Amino acid sequence: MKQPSLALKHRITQLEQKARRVGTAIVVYGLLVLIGYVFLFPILKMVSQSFMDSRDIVDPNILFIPSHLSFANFVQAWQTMSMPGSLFNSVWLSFLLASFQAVSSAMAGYAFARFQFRGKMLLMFLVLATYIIPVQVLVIPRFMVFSFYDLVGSVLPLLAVAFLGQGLSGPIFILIFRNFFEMLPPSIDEAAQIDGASRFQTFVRITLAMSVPILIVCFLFSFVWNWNETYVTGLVAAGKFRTLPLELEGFVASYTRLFIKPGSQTSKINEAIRMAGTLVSIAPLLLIYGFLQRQFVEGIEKTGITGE
Amino acid sequence: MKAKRQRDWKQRGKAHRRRETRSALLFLSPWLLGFVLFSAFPFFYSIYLSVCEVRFSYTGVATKFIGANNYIRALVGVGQLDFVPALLEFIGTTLVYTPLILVFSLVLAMLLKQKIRAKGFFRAIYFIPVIILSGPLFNEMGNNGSIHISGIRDLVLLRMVAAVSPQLMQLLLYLFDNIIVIFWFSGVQIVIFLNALQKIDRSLYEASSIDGATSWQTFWMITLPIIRPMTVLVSVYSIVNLGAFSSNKVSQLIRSNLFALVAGAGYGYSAALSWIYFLVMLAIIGLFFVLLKKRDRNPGGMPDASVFSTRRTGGPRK
Repeated sequence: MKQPSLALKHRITQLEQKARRVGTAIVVYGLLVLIGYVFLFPILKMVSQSFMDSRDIVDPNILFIPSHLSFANFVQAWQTMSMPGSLFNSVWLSFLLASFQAVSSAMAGYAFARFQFRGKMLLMFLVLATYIIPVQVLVIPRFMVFSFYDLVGSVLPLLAVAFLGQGLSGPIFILIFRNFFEMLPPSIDEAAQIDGASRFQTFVRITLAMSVPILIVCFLFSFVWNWNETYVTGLVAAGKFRTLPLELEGFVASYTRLFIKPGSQTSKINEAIRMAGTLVSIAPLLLIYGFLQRQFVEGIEKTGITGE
Repeated sequence: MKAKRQRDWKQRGKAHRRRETRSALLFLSPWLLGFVLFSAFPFFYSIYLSVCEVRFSYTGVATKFIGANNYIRALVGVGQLDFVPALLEFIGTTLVYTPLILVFSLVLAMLLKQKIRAKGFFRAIYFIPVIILSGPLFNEMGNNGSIHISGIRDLVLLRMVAAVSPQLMQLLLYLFDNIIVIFWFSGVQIVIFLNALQKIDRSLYEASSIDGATSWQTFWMITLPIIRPMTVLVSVYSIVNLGAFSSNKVSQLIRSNLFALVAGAGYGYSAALSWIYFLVMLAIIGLFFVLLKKRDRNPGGMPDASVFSTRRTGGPRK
C-alpha cells in the first residue's frame, strides 16, 4: 500500500485544523447569540410595547412592530414620573452611594486579603452573617436606629450607611474585593514597601491601580442595585425625596391622578404606558453602562500584569 | 544561642503581628464603625425579637418574652403548615440551581474571554440581567410574561416531540423554563468569573501549551485551581441571591408575617423565620465550602475553607 505523500498529509492536517476552528466558532457564536437572545428578549419586547397604542397591544397580528410610530406614551410617562427632577435625584444619589460603597468595601477587602490578625475569622463571619440574614427583618430595627440618631426624613442615613460599608449588599463587595486582591501577587506590595511606601500608599497606588476593572464592576453593581432599591429609600426619605424607581412604583396612582378625569369611563392605564415608564426608569442605567463598558474593557487590557 | 535566636524571632514576630493588626484595623475602621453604629443593634435586636411576641403601636414597640415559641410554631406548629415545605423547596432548588449556575456562568465567562468579535456587544448583553433582576422591573416583566420566551411551544421540533409523547414535551418545557431561570440568575456570576479569568497570567497558558497540554487539561490544572476561590464566592452570592429573591416562598412568608396582626404572627414570628432561614443558608454555604475547597494542600489539617483562607492563589506554588 502506498503511503500518502508528506505534502498531502500536511494539507489534510491543515484542513482538519481549519474545520475544527470553524466548528468551534459556530458553536461559540451560536451559544452566545442564543443566550444573548434570552437576555435581550424582554428589553426588546419592552421597547416595542412602549411604542404601541392601546389597540396594538391587544391586536394578535402585531407582535413587535407597532402600526404607527408615536411618542405619546413617553410624553405621558415623562409627566407621570415627574421627570427630570426624579431622574436627577436618582443619578446623584446612586452615584454617591456606589462610590462610597466601592471605596469602603475595597478597604475592608484589602484588610482581609493582606493582613493577619486576631479575630479575623470572627470578623469575616460577621461580614458573611450580615449578608445572609434576610434584609426584611433588619429594616425595622435599622429604622429605629436612624430615628435614634434623628436622621429620618432625608437620604442622609443611606449615605452614612454606604460610607461606613454597611450599604446594600455591602458584604458581597467586601468578599469580591478580598478575593481579587488575593489574586494579585503580594510581592509587588512588598516591593513598594521596601521602596518606602506606606501601607495606605501601597493600597491606593498599587492594589487599587491594578484593580481598576473590578473597581468599576463593583461600582456598577452597586449603582444598579442602589438605583433599583425602593423599600428602604422610601421608608427613610419618608416622601421627601423621590427617586425614579419610587416614581415607577407609584406609577399607576400618579397616572390616574394626572390623566384620568374622575367619573370618566374612558381608558384605564394600559400596558404600553407602563412599559414606557419602566423603560424610562432603566434607560439611564443602560446609558451609564454603555459609557463605563468601554472603560471596563480597556481597563482589563491595560492592567493585565498578574502572576510573577 | 539557638534558644536566644528563637526568642528574638518570636519577639520580632510579636511586634510584627501587632503592627499588622493595627494596619488591618485601620483599613477596617470604616466598616467596623459602620457595623457598631448601624448593623450591630439591628442584628442582635432581631435575635431578641425572635423570642418575643411583638406588637407595634404609636408609642413604640411592645415586646413580650415567649421563649422558643416562635421557633417551635414555625417548625412543628399546628396550622403553620406553610413554612417547612417552603423551606424544603428552597433547599431543593438551591442545591440544584447553584451548581448549574456555577457551571453555566463559568462556561459563558470562558466563551466571552476568548478572542471573539463584538466582545463589547456580548458583554453588554450579559450585563442586562444585572440591571433587570434587581428591581421592581423583574416582577413587572414576570407578570406580563416577558421573561419566558413566547412561541417556544410552537416550535416544529417540540410539536413533533409532543406528537410522540406529551409527557416528554412537558419535561422539555419544564427544563427549558428552568434553564432560562438559570440564565437570568447568572448575570453577576458571569461578570465575576470573567474578571477573574482576565487576571490569570497568560504565560501560564503559553507554558502549558508548549508542554503539550490539551485545553481540557489546561482547564483542570491551571484555570480551575486559580479560579477556585471565586467559585466559593460565586456560590455564596448565588445562594443568598436565590434566598432573597422576591418571589421565593420563604422570603414571601417572612415579608407577609412582618406586620400581620393575626395571633401568633407578627414581627417576632418573622424574625424567628428569618433566623431559621439564616441557619439553613449558612449550612448550604458551608456545604459548598467543603465541596469547593482545596483538597490536596493540607490533608488532615484544619479545614481550609477558601473564603476564609488567607492563602494567595495568584499562581502556582513555587
